[in-house]
Amino acid sequence: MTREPSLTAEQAARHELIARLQEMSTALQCGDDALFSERLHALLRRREESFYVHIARITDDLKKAFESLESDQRWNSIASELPDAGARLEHVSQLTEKAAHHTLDLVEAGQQELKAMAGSLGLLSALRARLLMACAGSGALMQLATEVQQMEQQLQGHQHSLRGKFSELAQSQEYQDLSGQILRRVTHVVREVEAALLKLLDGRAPSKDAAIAADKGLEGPTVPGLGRSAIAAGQDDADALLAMFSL
Amino acid sequence: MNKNLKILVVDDFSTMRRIVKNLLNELGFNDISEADDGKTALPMLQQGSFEFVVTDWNMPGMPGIDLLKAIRADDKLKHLPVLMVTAEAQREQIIEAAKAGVSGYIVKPFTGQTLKEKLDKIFERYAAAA
Repeated sequence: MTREPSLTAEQAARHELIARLQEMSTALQCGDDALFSERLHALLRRREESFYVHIARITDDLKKAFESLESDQRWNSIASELPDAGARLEHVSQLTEKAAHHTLDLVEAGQQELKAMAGSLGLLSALRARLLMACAGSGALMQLATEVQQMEQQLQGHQHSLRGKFSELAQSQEYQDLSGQILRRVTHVVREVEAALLKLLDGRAPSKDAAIAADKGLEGPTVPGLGRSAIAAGQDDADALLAMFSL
Repeated sequence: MNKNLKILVVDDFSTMRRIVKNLLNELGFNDISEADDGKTALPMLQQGSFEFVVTDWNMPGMPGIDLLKAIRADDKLKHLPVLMVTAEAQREQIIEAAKAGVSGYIVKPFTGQTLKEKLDKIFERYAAAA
């Protein structure tokens, strides 16, 4: 004995709808406008009721989600830690800036000493010239002057090398600018998240201005793997692009 | 190359301003002033007699690209050479700067040699146009 499978709620609703429509069609064919109108309004009422039931269900779900969010200690914990995270990032930025300036101070002081050394070398050269003039005929003094000259040349070599190293040392501090820009951007994002989260936990929506600012985002240094636009890999790529503009 | 050129270095990071200034000193330029963004730089350019601008792109207040556009829109300043030294390395940005009339573009991090090459190239172009 085969059992007829029971209808699902959706199938039952469909069958009922077909029956109503057939009844309405018959009423229309028979000229029973009152019955047709009454059935049509009943159908529309049912549709509206279904819509309101859905809205009520969504509202209920949303309310439960907010209640769960407010009672979840993790969110409160994150919201309270975010200001700390922002402050730490700013602190790192200040520390690197201070360190970079200290390095640059030392570089500039070193460069001043190199200039002083260049002055001393000039004086030494003048002294050697005077020695050469005074030692006419003396082989030992001539030899001494030659040795002094060799020493001058060595010092000039060291001076040149040190100047290059100081220059490189100064330039290597540009990490502070690049890392500082990235930190500034991350700090801004942390602050935005913090503001949005606090407002959410208060049951209020983030301000429109904050939403616009977050959507606009900040410009910043190119970070591999991030960013929406094509990245010129380096100076060569930038030069190739600029060449298109005869630059 | 005229080493007495009056140069304005515009960057919101004081370390980067010092670095660019240091490199320019190494290249023999000594008349260098500083500004921390376009908003500060523009009145300085309008009041001063600067002959060259080195600017960053990403700065609060007025970014470098807006400063460049303001310079090109100003009858007194429009011929001023503007070298952009920036970490902004996206194609669209480089093209935008070129279209706005940038004279040279250096991507950070950069070397003193790159700075020298770009300066030479800009001066050559300006000398040829004169």
